[in-house]
Order: sequence, then structure tokens, then C-alpha cells
Amino acid sequence: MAPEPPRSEAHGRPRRAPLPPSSSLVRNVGRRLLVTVGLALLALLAFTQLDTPLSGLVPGESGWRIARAFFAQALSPALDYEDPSPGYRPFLVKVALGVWHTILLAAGGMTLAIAVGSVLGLMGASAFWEDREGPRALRSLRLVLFASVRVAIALMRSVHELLWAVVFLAAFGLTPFSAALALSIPYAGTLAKVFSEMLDEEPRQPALALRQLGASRRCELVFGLVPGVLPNAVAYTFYRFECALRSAAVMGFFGLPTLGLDLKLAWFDLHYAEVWTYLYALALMVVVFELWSAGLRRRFVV
Amino acid sequence: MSGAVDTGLGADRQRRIRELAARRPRSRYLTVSVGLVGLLGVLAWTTGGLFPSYLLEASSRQNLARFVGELEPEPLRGRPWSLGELGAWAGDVLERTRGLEAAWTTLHLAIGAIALAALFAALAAPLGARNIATREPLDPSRDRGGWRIVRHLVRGSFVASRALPEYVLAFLLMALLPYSAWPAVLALAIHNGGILARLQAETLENLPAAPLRALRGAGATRAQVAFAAGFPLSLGRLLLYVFYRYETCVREATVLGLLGVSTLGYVIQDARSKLYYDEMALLIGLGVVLVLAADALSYLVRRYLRDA
Amino acid sequence: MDHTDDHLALEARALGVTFGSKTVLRGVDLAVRPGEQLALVGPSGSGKTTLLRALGGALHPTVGSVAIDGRDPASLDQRQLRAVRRSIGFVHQHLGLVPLLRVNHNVALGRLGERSLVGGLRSVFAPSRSEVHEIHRLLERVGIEEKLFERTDTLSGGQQQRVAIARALHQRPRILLADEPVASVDPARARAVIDLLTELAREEGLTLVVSIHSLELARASFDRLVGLRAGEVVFDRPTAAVDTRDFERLYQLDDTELLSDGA
Repeated sequence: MAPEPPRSEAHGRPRRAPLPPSSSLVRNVGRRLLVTVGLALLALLAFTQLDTPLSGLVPGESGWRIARAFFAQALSPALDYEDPSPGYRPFLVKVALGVWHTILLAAGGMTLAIAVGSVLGLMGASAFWEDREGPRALRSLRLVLFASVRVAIALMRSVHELLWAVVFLAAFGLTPFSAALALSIPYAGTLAKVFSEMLDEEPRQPALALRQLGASRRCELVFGLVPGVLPNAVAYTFYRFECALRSAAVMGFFGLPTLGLDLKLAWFDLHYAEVWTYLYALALMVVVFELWSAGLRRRFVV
Repeated sequence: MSGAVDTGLGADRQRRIRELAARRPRSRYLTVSVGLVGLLGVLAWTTGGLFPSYLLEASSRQNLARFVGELEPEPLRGRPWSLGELGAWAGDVLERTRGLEAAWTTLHLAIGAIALAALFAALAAPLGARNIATREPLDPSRDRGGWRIVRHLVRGSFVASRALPEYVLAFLLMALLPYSAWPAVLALAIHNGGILARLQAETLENLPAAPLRALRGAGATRAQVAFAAGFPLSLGRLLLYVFYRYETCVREATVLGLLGVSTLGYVIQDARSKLYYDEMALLIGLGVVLVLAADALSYLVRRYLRDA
Repeated sequence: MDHTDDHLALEARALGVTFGSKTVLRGVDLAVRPGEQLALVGPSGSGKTTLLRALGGALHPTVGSVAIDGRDPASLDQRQLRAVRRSIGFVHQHLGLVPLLRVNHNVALGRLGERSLVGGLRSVFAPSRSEVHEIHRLLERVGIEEKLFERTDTLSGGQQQRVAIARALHQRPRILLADEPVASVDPARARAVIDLLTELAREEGLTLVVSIHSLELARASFDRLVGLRAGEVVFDRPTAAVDTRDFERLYQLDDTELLSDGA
């Protein structure tokens, strides 16, 4: 069989997958070369079309000034306000609150995404629709439903969470709820896509055995098919949680009280040491979650 | 069945079941992880101010209704219209907002960035691979000293570069560099470069040792092992990953327009700030088409690479 | 349900099954009385599995018919079919256990046919004490009670075989069908598994049909043998009346088969 990279890697979640035998490693050499050369040519073409002069890589005078000031602080992130005013909460408490609000927004978006994504994931799996009987009209209706679930999943995924945020900003203002909703739509789509792929790759024998002992279709899927994908699905959901943290932080740029807002404001105030604190806090938060989910993968991914 | 009849026996069985339950294999890690995330979810919805009680207010509902009404193309509002008119309107909007140009830029930005990321991954990954970046390549037993430190530093840099969101990277780079598309390209390339490099390092580590050993035995240098054998053997995987990430890059490139790069996000934001919600919806639709096209292209290339 | 003497637990009449252009069963007639135990024997590919599946209502015959407790599954609607399937315990060759669930959960799933989704979830997450006791007793009966709370995929093949048997019994069926239950068990244990099945079936008064490729085992443990070859019944008689000529007919390859095998 052709080596299919595990879907998880599609989204940057690395996992140690067995490599195909070396014979197939050297197959398709021509195609690989062709694709590599094609990619390189397209990239060169892209750079002629884009506004990317080599001079654009060299900071201007003000750029140098900012860069010097900014990078000078890299190893001395602020532990207190650079410009303290009475009555402010302690700086580190502010950082912690930024982290906490980022986590809460991500968690809020992920709860919605998990709920919607699991249902759509189940309904997007072909196993959900196969082997059902009934009159022809009902069967065609099922086919239409199946197709629309798949289309809905693709559409949800294809609009970035920040664009959803822009839309909701226009519709009812950017509140924590609309931000969580914006976050949850593409995430639900991605979870649904990955879950349905996992379900369809799962062996069917346990489910068929349950059907044979008289279980209903619903029970057959829930008890025969779902348990097999749970470890991978949980691990993947954790990985998405980590991505949601990044997205939630960025939502701060739109005015929500997450790390992005703190970072943006500190940057405009030219408080570069504070900016570094926020950057480190963001990176640390993401890395901690990554280690956490890596721990899960190591233990449970099969 | 007859479990309740002999209570003495039932009690004995209950005791034995308890013993078995007490030493059943359990994963505290999983329980705690799922519990913590569940707790976070509950906290988010109870203390995070997420619950949209304001939607119950009449004014918010009116706003929402007005917004939905304004999604309908402005010149066609309040009267019956034909598909031809809709098409004419769409064409007009795309020309006036330069939407197609922005879509074109989005695609190019994504290609340029992913190509740079792939180049970075191909060059940097060997330094992070456990079979190449050791004191003696392909000899894990002699994994000490400088190479080990280099490898961990390189791996750390891969993690760090993907820990920061593209959007934040682009925001910072825009202040440092003169106005051009570079901040966006670099932000995408750095983030995806970290991801691809880490995957590429793992691919290298999982390569069969025999061909690499043979080359090393014939007197090849470390670089020759990495690039004359490791690279061609791992190229297929790398390309698969590149085309997986390409679709994500298109989505991200769209969004970086919100920062002022002339991709689709820019024209979308522009339409929104002018309160032209009909145009905003059309441009978002164009973005959907773009992402779906990129998705399809990625899929086709990946299939072409896989099928012999 | 009381069984009169002329009532049959399982019956196949002129049964034929075709997959595409391949005929797997042809003109099979079989009658099994309630409480009877019989073994299907024959080389692999002779149609044993397909016959069992047809008898269990898992597939509809191409021609002829099947009757389970006098009812033809092909004539039943979805709900009735489920009711019939509940009365049949099936031990699959591939076991069909859910690998990531614990043993007690897998056994509890035996009753899934009589449960709603909520009832099923409750039986897994908050099982009643009496059901846990029953499962423990069943596992004791098949000899692996200490595995009650282990994850099923950590068990050996033979132990999983016993879990599958326990699940089929927990279902409280009237008929037990077992497809090659000893195919993945080492020969020394195979006898024990077969004896367990026949003994349990006798205790519970179940009708038992087992497919086995090992003649010695079938002969030692069953009173009635049905020989299948190339989809047809070659013999069907009491074990005592089966002679070596029958077995020769069962396993002897004729020229045409050799040719088609080689092709």
C-alpha cells in the first residue's frame, strides 16, 4: 500500500510513524523531482509577483532603531511596569491574567468545537451512513445529508477564525462569546474532518459483531467504532487545544483581554521589555501545552 | 440470575471484585488531563463572560437582524433580482476592491512562504536529527558533547519558532522592516519552517540506517550523509508535508491582510470598516474558493506523489 | 419459550449463497433441534463461515431459505431481525471484541441488543452491582475472572477467546454459533475451549453449532458432524457413523480443484 502520512501530521502534529520499506522510498523519484522543481519555479515566480525587493529585508533607519531597542531587551523581560502608575495591579498579575484569559477563551472555543466537531465527525464518517435500509427516497435523502455534512465541514474549515471574528465583530460586536464562537467554527470543522477520517480507518469487526447480537445502529457505532478512535481523537484534540491557545492570544489584537491585546498595547507604548515578557509567556504557555499533549500521545496513541 | 439467594457467596464475590477493581490498571495522566480540560471548559463558560446574555437584549437582536439584512447586495436590496444582476454586481465589486488581485497575492504569498519553509527544513533538519547530529553520525552510543548540545538547541529553536503565532510574528516584523510583503512571507515561513523542520528531522531519524551507514563507511562526510543520502530518501515525505501545510498557509496568508499586507484579509477588513457587509461577504466567499482550490491542489499533488 | 419435539432451532432449506460470480454454498439442507450440539467440519474455503453467518441471520441467502426458531430472517423487518439476533450468540473467528475497552465492558456489551444507547452507556460507565457479579461469575466460568477490569487488548489470544465466549453467554441466547473458535488458540488449549463451549451449552440448554477444521477435536467432542466441501454438504450423520471414507471424501482434492487452485 502507498504510504499515507498519518492525518495528524497534516496539521503539524508530529508523530513517529513507521517509514515505508526503502524500496518504496526510492520509487517515484521522477515525480518527486518534478514536484520539487515545479515548487521552486512557482516560488520564484511568486517572488517576482510579490512586493518583495531584497531591500525589503534590510530595516530602515527607524527599523534599526526599533530593532536595537527591542532586541536589547530580549534577555531582560520586564518583571514590573516600565512606566509604573499607582493603582495598577502588579505587572506579573497582569501577565498571569492575560495568560488566564487566553486559556479561558481557548477553552470556551474548544468546548463548542468539541461538541459540534464530534457530532459532525460522526455524521461525516461513511460508516455512519452505510448499510442502512429503507425505501429509495429515504436512501437518496441520506446521501444528500451525508454530502451536505461533508460540504459543511469543508466550508467551516475554509474560513479562518480571525475572519469569522471580523464577521462577528460586524454582526454583534466582538465579545468573548463571539470570539469563542469564531474560534470554534473552523476548529469544529477540522476536528470533524479528522474524527471522520479516523472513524473510517477503524476496523469494522467489533461494530459488526455488535450488530450481529442485535444492537441498534446507534449503539453499534458508539460502542463498536468510537472506542477505537478515542485515544487518537483525545490526543489530537489536545493538539488542537494548543493551536487554539495561539489563536486566542491573537484574538487579543481585536481588543479581547488576551495576551495579544497586552502585547499590542505594550508594543505601541514602546515598552519592549514588557513585550518580551508577553512573548515569553505566550511561548511558555504553548510549550507547556505541547509537552502535555506530547505526554498523552506517548502514552495513548496507537 | 440467582445472585441474591446466597448472600454469603455474594459478599465474597463483592469482596473479590473490589480487590480486582482496586488494582485495575488506570491512567492517572489521562484522567487528570481530561478532567483539567473539562474544568477549563466549565470555568470558561461560567467565569469567562462567554455566555451571550446580551443576545437576549432587543438592541443586539436588532443589530444582528440589520447585519443579516445588509449581507444582501446593496444595489439589489428590496427588489427582485436576477442571477445576471448578481454576477454583474460581483464583477463590479471584485474590480473596484481589487479582490482578484488580492486573491492572487494571497496564493503567491503562501507559495513563497512554504517554499522558504521547506528550504529551511531541508537545510536545518539534519542538525536536529538524532542519527546525524551526534558525535559520530549513525552511532547513538556516542551521543555526547557538543553535537548533542547543538542538536537540542536546534530542536528548541524549531519548537520556539512554531510556538509564536504567524500573526504576532508578522506584527513585530512589520515594525522592523520597511513596508513590503516580506514581513508576511517571513512570518509564515518561520512558523511553518519550524513545523516542517521538526517533521523532517523525525523523518530522517526514522530512515533505514543501512544506506546511510554504507555511505559513511565509504568515507562520506556528515554533510554528505545528510544531503546525498538523507535528503533524497526523505524528500517524498517532506513534499507531502509541504502540500499539507500549503492549504493552511493560504488561510493564514489571507488573514495577515488584516495587518495591512495586500492579501484578501486587507480588502475584507476594508469593506468591513466601510460597513459594506455585502462586499465583505463576497470577498470572504472568494477566500473560501481560494482555500478549497488550494486544498484540492494539495490533494492532487499528494496523490500524484504517492501513486507509482 | 418451550420447544416441542418437532420444532427446529435452526433450519436451512436448499440454501445457496453466491458472492458475485463465486458460489460459496449450494443446495445446503440442515436441521438442528433445540439443545443439539453439532460441528461443521471441512477444509478452509468450504463455506463453513458463510453457512454459520446465514444460520445466524447475518447474511441473506441467494436462494433457498433459513429458519431461526421457525422464522425466516429474510422476511423480518429491522426490529424483528434485531430480536432474532438477540437470541443468537455468535463467537466470531476474529472475536469482534472492542480492543480498547476493559473486559467487563466487552462482556456487558453482550446485552447491548436489549439496551438503548443510554442503557448501554450506563452499563459501561455505571454498571449495576448485580450485572458486575454476573460478569464476574461468567468470567470465573471461562477461567479468567482475574482479568475482569483489564483492558481487553492486553489479553492473550486465548484469553480474548474466552472473553468472546463470556460475552456471547452474557447475551443469554438460546442458540450459540461459534466460527472456528480455536483457530487462534494453540492446539493444547483448543480441546479445553471446545469442551468449555459444549459444557456451557449443555448447562444452559443452548443449541450449539461450531465450525472446526480439526477432525480429531470435532470427533472427540460432538455427537453429530456435518461435512462441508466446496459449498455442499458431503455428509451429515452421528459421529459414530462417520467413517474414514467420509473424511477422505472431505479432504481429497480432485484434479479440477487442483488446477483451479494453481491458477
